[in-house]
Amino acid sequence: MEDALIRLRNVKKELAIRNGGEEIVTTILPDISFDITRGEFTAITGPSGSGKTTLLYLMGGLDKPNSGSVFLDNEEISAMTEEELAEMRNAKLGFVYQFHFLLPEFTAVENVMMPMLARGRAGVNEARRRAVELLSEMGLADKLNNKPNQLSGGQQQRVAVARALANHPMVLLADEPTGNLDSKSAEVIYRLFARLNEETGQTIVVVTHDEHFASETGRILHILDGQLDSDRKLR
Amino acid sequence: MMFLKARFILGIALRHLTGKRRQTALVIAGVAVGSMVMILTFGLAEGVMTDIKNKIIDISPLITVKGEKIRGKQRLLMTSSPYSKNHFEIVSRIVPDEKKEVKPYTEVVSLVDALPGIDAVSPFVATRGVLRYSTLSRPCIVKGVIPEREARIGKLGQNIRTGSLNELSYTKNGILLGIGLAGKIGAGYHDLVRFTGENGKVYDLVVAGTFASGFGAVDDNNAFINLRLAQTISGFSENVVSAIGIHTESLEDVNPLSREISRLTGYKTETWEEANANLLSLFERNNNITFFLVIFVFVVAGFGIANVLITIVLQKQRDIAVMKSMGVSIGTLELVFLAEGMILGIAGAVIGGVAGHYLTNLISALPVSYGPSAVVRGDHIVTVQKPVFYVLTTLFAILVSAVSGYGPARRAARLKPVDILRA
Ligand SMILES: Nc1ncnc2c1ncn2[C@@H]1O[C@H](COP(=O)(O)OP(=O)(O)O)[C@@H](O)[C@H]1O
Ligand SMILES: [Mg+2]
Repeated sequence: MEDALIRLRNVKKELAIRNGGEEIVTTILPDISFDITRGEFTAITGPSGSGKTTLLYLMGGLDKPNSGSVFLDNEEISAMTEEELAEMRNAKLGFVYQFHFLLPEFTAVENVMMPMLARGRAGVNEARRRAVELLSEMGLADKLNNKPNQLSGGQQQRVAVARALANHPMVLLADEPTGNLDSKSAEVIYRLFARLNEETGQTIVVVTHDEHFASETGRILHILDGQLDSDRKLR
Repeated sequence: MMFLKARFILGIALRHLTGKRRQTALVIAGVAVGSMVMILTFGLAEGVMTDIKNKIIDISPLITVKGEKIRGKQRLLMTSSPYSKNHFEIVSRIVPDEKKEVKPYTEVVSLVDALPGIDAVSPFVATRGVLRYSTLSRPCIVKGVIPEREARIGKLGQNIRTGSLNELSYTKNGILLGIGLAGKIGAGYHDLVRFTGENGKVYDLVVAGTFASGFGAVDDNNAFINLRLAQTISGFSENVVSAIGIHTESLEDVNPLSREISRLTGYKTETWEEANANLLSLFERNNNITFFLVIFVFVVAGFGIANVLITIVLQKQRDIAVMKSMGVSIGTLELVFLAEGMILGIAGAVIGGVAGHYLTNLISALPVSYGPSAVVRGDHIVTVQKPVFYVLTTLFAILVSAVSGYGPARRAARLKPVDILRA
């Protein structure tokens, strides 16, 4: 219990869609509960539209449940204000999306520096030093000053991973990070994640369609129609 | 910490703007035009006022002791502090209708001469009549003066075109004609003109010179003669004048001295601003209308700023969502877009300020000719430039950009990251 870094308790998420005058409410997640332990490497799998992204955003404090609670590091993030959530995300979470979502006007180094500078967590020099270090670890030492459009898809995604790791997050949340990559680039990202988890004990939750990738993780949560279909520990 | 945050905000704002070079340049140009026009308008408006005031001061007394006694039962109803800029007294008084004269004027002159801050005192008799030369005649206002004294009121001495004030003073039947008046009757230096006074009598006068004051109405209608002659024409005895013109050493002393002189002498006094209130307020109103139009230029520039920012916010929705998801606060994001507006506004104001400065200089350097009907004449457009104009213009540009940037900034900051990251 002590080691549960993320706890979901009876989380219910509905979606209200306005269709002209009437409002249609659909339930995406009827009632889901599980824990993620510190140091765990978890894959969330399931068919498209089953609610994986929704679940990830709830864990990351980007969205709020209609009922139930989400705890991160023993704090109830589902009860936090916008500003508290922003501070929490900056300090404790790192996000990687299906698309790299790098800011196009900034170089690779600057993109990685951004989370450190966003709330004044680090000075410019310190942030640059860490950004260079992270990018070098990702094998991008020679691409530091490239703008995102001067990088390949795999390189872009590695910069995005470096950015997510900038503030030493407690959890790395990734939503189909290889969904848009060729198999070789995808393989690089898998190995990067696995190495991070093994070497530094980085807690990782990754949504993926890729059976092979999922099988390399420590635990697979399979979602069907917004419900936990199976929870398999692999190690 | 503050510095870091400012650097972060400015860094993003500048990258956004440099990413849209063409639109940014266009909007900055728009603000610059607004600022330039505003600087120019300030310069011209203040220039016209200064020009008019200077010309009024050049030709008329700063204070006139009028030939009207403060008499009758006076009851003070209300007063402000006598030292306030806009001093006022409300009195009720019944004034009997009587001839306008200051008598004995020498007493009043020596009383005023003795006051501190007085530069010149010139008693005069104003009268009307018709001036004729050969077949052309024209009604005119004739001021009888002691030329040496009148020379020290304003710049009559400098405004002489032909002849001299000195010549007037030793020519008992001399007359100094306004340049327009001389032209209208076709009379020139040393010509003999015929003046028919209010008393119906006819006087033959020698043109002792001509003057040009810069005021069309004055140059077309006024003339100077010797005080003694004017007294004769008006039927005044030697110790009577119709009024006394006074020049003070400093413009600031005009109002208090005017009140003081009135109190000491018992005669009504009038300052140059009171005497020309109609003219001055006309120009003031004109200037206000012009400023209103300039503000419209700025409003249009403001729309330009808002337009660019809305475009950026729409294009950068995903980036904004990503920044929010990494913990950039709502306040910081609002400041990013406000800063973008400010950068546009300030850059425009700086460029417009410099352009306005040179344009104003250029316009005042251009030679111009005024038509004969112009109220004020001169050989160039007078402009004035003051630091406060630039400060006001910059502040206004900043205000406009802040107002224009506020909406887009709020909109950007309130975007919900999930709505955008999913799409
Ligand atoms: N903004 C939205 N508009 C319409 N439908 C949505 C929206 N967000 C989620 N949904 C619906 O909610 C369900 C779960 O979506 P999501 O969490 O993205 O699933 P997954 O990531 O597993 O594909 C889907 O049926 C999806 O269509
Ligand atoms: Mg998804």
